[in-house]
Amino acid sequence: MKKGPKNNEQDIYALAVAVYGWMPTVPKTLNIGSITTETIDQIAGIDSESGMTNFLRDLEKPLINNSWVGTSKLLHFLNTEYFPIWDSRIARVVDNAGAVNESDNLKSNYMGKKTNYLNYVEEMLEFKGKQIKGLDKFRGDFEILFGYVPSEIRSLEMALFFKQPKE
Amino acid sequence: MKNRKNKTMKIKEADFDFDSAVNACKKANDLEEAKSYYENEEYLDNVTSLTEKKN
Repeated sequence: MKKGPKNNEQDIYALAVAVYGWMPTVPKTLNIGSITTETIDQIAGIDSESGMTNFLRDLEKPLINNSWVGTSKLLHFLNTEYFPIWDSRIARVVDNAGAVNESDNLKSNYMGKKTNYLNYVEEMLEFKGKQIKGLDKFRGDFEILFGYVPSEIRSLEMALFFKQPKE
Repeated sequence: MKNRKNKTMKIKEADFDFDSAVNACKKANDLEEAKSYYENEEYLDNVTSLTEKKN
């Protein structure tokens, strides 16, 4: 998204399509009426952990496709420094209760709860700014491969994502 | 942040698997490997099967 000039409605739709173009999930709706250009600018401008968690706590509904997974990706693209991506593969690693490994209903219920997404985000923030073994090397290796350094929070999220093999 | 009611989640530093992540990135960066994946018989069978189911 643009920094400087205000984003317009077309930019928001482009972002929504990009988010779902990246996933196997087909969006049931691209109704993004609740996302205003002011919301986008607010998300992109968040520069503190408290600003981020306050924003998420105030968020009553997912921003896109009634999905916290889709919302997490949209937020990540807008502000890669603070918003980690959330999906069922991450949840399988971080959910000690094991609900995500159970039936589709339990998994859907778990992924549909904002509390679980918020807990994950808050726990990830506890690692932000800390010396994590392997993190710096990973970011360096990633830069060699792709020509840019991923944010700290994105790097941590990728390290969780790849911990378990795909089903 | 510290006083959450839901304690079923606790990420540990050991959960971050950077070796697997960098290996996955290397694979993704290897175009030949990606090409071979999409030309892989198992992949093509899966695509064919899904297409047939849809039709």
